[in-house]
Amino acid sequence: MNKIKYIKIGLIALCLGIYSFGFYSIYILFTGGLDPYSRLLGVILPQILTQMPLVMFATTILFLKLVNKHNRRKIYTLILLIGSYLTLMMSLPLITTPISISYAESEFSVAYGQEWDKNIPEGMKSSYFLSNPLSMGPVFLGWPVSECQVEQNIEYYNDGEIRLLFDVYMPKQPKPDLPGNRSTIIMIHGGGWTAGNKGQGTLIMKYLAAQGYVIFDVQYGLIDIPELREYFSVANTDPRNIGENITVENQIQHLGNFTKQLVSDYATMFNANLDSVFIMGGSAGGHLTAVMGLGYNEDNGIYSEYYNNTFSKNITIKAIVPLYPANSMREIAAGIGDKLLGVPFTSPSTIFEAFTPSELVDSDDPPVLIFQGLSDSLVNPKMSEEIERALDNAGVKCCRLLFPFAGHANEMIVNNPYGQVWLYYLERFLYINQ
Amino acid sequence: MKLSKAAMSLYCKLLIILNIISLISEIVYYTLATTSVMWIWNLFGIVWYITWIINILLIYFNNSRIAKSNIIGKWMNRISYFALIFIIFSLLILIFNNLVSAYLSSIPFLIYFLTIFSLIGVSFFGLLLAFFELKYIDNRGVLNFE
Repeated sequence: MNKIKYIKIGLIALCLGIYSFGFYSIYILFTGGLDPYSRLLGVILPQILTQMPLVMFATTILFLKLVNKHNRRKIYTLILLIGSYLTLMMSLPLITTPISISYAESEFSVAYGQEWDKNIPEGMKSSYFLSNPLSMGPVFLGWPVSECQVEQNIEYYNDGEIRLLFDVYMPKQPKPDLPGNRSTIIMIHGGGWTAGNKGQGTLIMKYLAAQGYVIFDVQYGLIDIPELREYFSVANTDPRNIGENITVENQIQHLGNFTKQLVSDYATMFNANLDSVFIMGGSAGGHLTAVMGLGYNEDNGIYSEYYNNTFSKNITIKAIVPLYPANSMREIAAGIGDKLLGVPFTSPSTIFEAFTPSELVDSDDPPVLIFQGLSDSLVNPKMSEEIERALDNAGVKCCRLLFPFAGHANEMIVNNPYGQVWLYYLERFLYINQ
Repeated sequence: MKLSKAAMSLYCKLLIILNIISLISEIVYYTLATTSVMWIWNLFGIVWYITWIINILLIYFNNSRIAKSNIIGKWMNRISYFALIFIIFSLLILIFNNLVSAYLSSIPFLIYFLTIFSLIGVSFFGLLLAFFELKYIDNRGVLNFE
């Protein structure tokens, strides 16, 4: 008798534990997390919630079974109400997918015309592209890994203090009719400029490589701020990337240096097409992507002193894809400190503006595709809004895809509704802009 | 909500068919899937969700109907507890599998094994409960439809 009683108490504790997790998830969904650790959890939690409605549903039925309906009618009704509420709330990422799709359609229509999808041949779409923005199979059982060829840990920079490597993702078999047509993608990882490593978002890189793109996933020097690195400790930082005096300006120089070596060596080595280059990255990598893409022609602009011979001029940037990018460097330096750009944020120096993407925009800039979760608490969505506004004012094509309840880096697992919708529009955007 | 005996019989037969279709397609997807025929996996994904939901609903429908004083009813009640706990942990394993497959270059064997075990286990419980239901549907000592 006692044994059954203890099992029942254990099961009730399990149900209460799952319900508590549910309430915490709702807090993350709506706010993105207000304390530092909840913000980090916001990177993972909204991505895994697609299974949680079923977990909540099963937990509620288990809880109801444990409570005698006839003796505890009020408690029974309360559990039923709480369980239904949690199941519904956990379904929000899935339920709101049509909103993300409709928003993306409207952004593409404005940028590329009402019939933007007609620019892609039907044969190409049916053979290589995702047939719909959301498929329920992957939501349930994960995203299938695409087959491609990967070469890892190729050194492109070593000054004794820091060593930088890159990986290349290529199609497995050289097929001439693949949509990527060996266009080059330079992939820049995130990690708050102080942490992180190549290898973020491998599912998307493998998918695009299988489509015929040649993807260079590069490291860059990291700013030495131990407390921030500690905060991003899950980011698998390579200690050989950290340099004592590195700033964002140096990071851009490292990436610029890579573009020069791409032209001199690696494009031939990996058969990459430099007449069609895309730059893509998330978070801090999204900021660096935007600075590279929008600052590429800045050696004739008002911030030319910072962009003198930084990039190779023998590549053609067709478009850039910053995901949840940071923007105002002065505002960010006020929070992070002097090490970001080597001077205090109160300094009258123009260096902060020179590395603020929205300040670099001009009418010759390439088209831009932005991913932005509306519950992102690590990078305020207003930052990508500022970039979009500057691009709109300059008449540059910009599609900013907004995802309700998505937090920071919420496309990484790909199988969730945010990741699938993102990939559906990303592959089309890259093809249209080749 | 109460279903009549005839409706419940139909519900269980449907559940058996859906569980068999789901189990086969889930294992095919998990071991062989590519992104090339996504529309098929969209269709099957919907079937998987429906199957799991109606497996759970069967337990809910039977909760007040099973005669727990009867030895068979007592076992059916215990199996339904096991099934619910198994479903909850299976879903958590699927979440973990999705996370691991995104961040690691290959899925560790233990995760792979646990995922397959979860898929088989959930369908097994669904089939078992539907089978018991059909077998004892006319036995008023086990299932009371009044």
